Amino acid sequence: MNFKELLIQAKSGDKDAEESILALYKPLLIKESILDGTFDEDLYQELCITLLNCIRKFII
Amino acid sequence: MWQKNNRWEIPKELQYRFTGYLQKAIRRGKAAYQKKSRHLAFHEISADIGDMRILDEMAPDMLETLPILMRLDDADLVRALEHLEERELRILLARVLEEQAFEKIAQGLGLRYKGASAAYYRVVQKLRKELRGGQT
Repeated sequence: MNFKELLIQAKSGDKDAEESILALYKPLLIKESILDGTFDEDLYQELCITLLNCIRKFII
Repeated sequence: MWQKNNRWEIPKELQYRFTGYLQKAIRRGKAAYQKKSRHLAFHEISADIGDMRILDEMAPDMLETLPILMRLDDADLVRALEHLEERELRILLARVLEEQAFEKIAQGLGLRYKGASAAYYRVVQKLRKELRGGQT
C-alpha cells in the first residue's frame, strides 16, 4: 500500500492506517521530543496528537 | 519549482509534502509546549512541603504560628528538647528566644539571679550532652 492510500484511509478514520502512519513517523516524533538531552514524555504525547491533527487537516 | 518537483517520483511527492507539513506543525506545537512549561515553572509553587526553604521564603508568618517544636527541622535537637522538663524548657526559651535578662527569668520563677543563671547553664549543658550522645 502506498502512502497516498494509507493517508486517505487514515483521513476517513481507519485506526489501523492511523497507527501505520504513527509508526512511520515515530522516530521523528521521538527525536523532536528530546529537550535538553532528556526525553519528554508529555511533549511526545503532544506531538502524537499533532500528528493525528495533521492527518485530519492535510489536503491531498 | 515545478521542474524540481517533477524529477521526484510522483507517489513519494505527497509523502514529502505531508512530512513538511508535519514538521512545521511539530515546530509550532513544540514552541507552544515549551512556552507553556516555562510559564508553569515560573508561576507554579512546588507542592513539596518538606522543602522548608520555600516555606521560609513564601510565608514566614505561617511558620510563626506553629508550635515551637514543629518549627525546628533538626530532628536531634527536637528529640533533645523533648527530653527536657517543662520548667527547663521555659528557662531556655525565655533566655534564648525572648532574650530576657536573668533577673526577669528569676522573678518569674521565684528564684534569685544566681539560681536562674545556674539553671540556664545546666539546661544548656544537658542539651549539649544529649546532642553529642545522639551523634555518636
